[in-house]
Amino acid sequence: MKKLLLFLLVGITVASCGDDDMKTPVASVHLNMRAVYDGQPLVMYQAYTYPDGSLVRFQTFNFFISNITLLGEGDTPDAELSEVEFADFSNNTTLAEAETPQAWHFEEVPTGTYRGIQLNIGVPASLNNADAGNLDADHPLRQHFTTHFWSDWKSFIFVKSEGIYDLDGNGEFNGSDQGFEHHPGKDEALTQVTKLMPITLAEGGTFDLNLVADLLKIYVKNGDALDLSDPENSNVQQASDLPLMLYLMGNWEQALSVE
Amino acid sequence: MKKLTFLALLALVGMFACKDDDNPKPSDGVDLTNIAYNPTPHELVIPPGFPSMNIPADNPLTEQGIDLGRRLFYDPILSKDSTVSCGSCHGPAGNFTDNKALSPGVGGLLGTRSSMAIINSGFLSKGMFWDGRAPHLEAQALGPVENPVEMAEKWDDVEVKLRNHADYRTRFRKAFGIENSNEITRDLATRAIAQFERTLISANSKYDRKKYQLDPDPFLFSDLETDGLKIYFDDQFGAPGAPVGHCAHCHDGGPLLTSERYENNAITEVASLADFPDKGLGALTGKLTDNGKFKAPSLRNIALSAPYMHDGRFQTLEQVIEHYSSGGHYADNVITGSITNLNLSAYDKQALLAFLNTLTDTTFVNNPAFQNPFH
Repeated sequence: MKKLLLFLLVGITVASCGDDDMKTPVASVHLNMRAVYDGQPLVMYQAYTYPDGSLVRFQTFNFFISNITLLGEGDTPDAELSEVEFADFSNNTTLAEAETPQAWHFEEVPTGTYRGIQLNIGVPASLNNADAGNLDADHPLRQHFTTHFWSDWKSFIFVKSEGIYDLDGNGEFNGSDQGFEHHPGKDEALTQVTKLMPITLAEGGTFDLNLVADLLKIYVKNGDALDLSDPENSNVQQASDLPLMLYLMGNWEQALSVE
Repeated sequence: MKKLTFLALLALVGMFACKDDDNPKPSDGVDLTNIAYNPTPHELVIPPGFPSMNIPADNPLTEQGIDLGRRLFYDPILSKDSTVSCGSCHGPAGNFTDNKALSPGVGGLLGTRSSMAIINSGFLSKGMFWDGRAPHLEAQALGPVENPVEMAEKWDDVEVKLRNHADYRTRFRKAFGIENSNEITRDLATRAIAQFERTLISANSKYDRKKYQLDPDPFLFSDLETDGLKIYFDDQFGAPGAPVGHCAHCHDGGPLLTSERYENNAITEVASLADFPDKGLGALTGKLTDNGKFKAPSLRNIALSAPYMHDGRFQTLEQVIEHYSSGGHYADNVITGSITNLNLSAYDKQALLAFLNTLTDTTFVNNPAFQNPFH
């Protein structure tokens, strides 16, 4: 009889260790991102005023974000939401489109208290140098391989910002104005951004994390805007363009904010 | 009078008979289960530097599927009057184009765009056709059959013709395991064609041999070709005044040599974005700023693909280079960071041309596995 009781006790104990009880409590995180220019929704092909008073217009703005991680607080460990994602605002040609954030939904995020979010602008070296032949078809780097892999650098282009600057100052755009293509990439251009904010994930709940990327702030450092009238600043694509590349990438901490 | 009535009746019978011949008759189907179904998986070799290929889970490559696809690709049975096949506009000698500005379809009718090269298409992921309207190769293969200026046929009729064809019945059975000939559908036909097209891989140009160190010869490229490469990739290491071509912004994407970007490449002068005679991507999206945008094609084997641009307006690569050197025609949706007056010298243009010629891969166009099996 004693043996039977012991057997039952062991059985109950084993059963109580089932999957349901061992599951870590989880929540959802919805990461939403909008692109703006000086705080205004960024509409492609729409003219904006550059800090020097000239008009500027964009037609491409996209970038990779990687190692998107919630920073744990206290006993809560860090939680990586995603290895890499692609943010693209280039098709926002109307105000309505520009006001609609791009959204990524991350499920099964461990509950707890987090002190902020950290992510890279760009692609970490481990992925940047990986064999693209091994990437799954739905991997963001595979999906954007043709548009963003620059074989001369053996690197993905991390950010694409393209547009035109009203060089002659006549208030309209034409063929004599200064087009620009800023395409920073390469391992050394990877930029980490950290945004501290209290984040509490309760079991079964959803936390909306709203980020805003201000394109103008990528072009401004310490109050001085990049001189877009200078043809030397019109392209980032050669190995010698590294200083300009690092200038642009170094401004992302201020360009990305939480709202 | 009796003679006339008889003749009239005869003519009527004749007319009906002709009508029947024009439209293939559906059959009750043929049982195919006595034919063995043992598909052999096709092992695809991904060349160095290439990304993974986009192969749908429901259409794995098999030797039998590829063989069937190749036959369908070259068989004019897909067209209304059995005169036009996929291969008519996409022949291997012309880098899977027909080397015509506009391709003639059934009855010699001309379309409005030049045939695109089918080369490394299995690696593409941003849409097929000049305007990207088909998301993948299977969807792409559906289009030309019912296009009135291409094959001008109905898929319903193609299905009947294939079901009534003893050899195709066997081949569809061997490729897809169908049990009855009535299971031959456009879906299976386009899957087979897509399988064949995924095998059309080119990775053996002089450029590949240099770039991916397939050839140890350090002098593989001439100085002219090396200078052309630098112009193509803007790889001038900051040398003041060094020429840049900005070519790779639309024609790199690693070894595929296409960024798959849809761009207005400034070849058409328009008063406004609404005025493009062919709106390209804009006709699909309805966005004014997409008007005049077309897919940047791969430049692999470009020397074999003349004429150039979506409407075949340029006969030679020299004309193409001249266009880009000049900057073309400004419009509000031109990427002027790349497409601008480049001021290339005569030497720069010569160098660029020499580099473009290193992209030729004759082993691809001459590959026996890619040729017309009916010849």
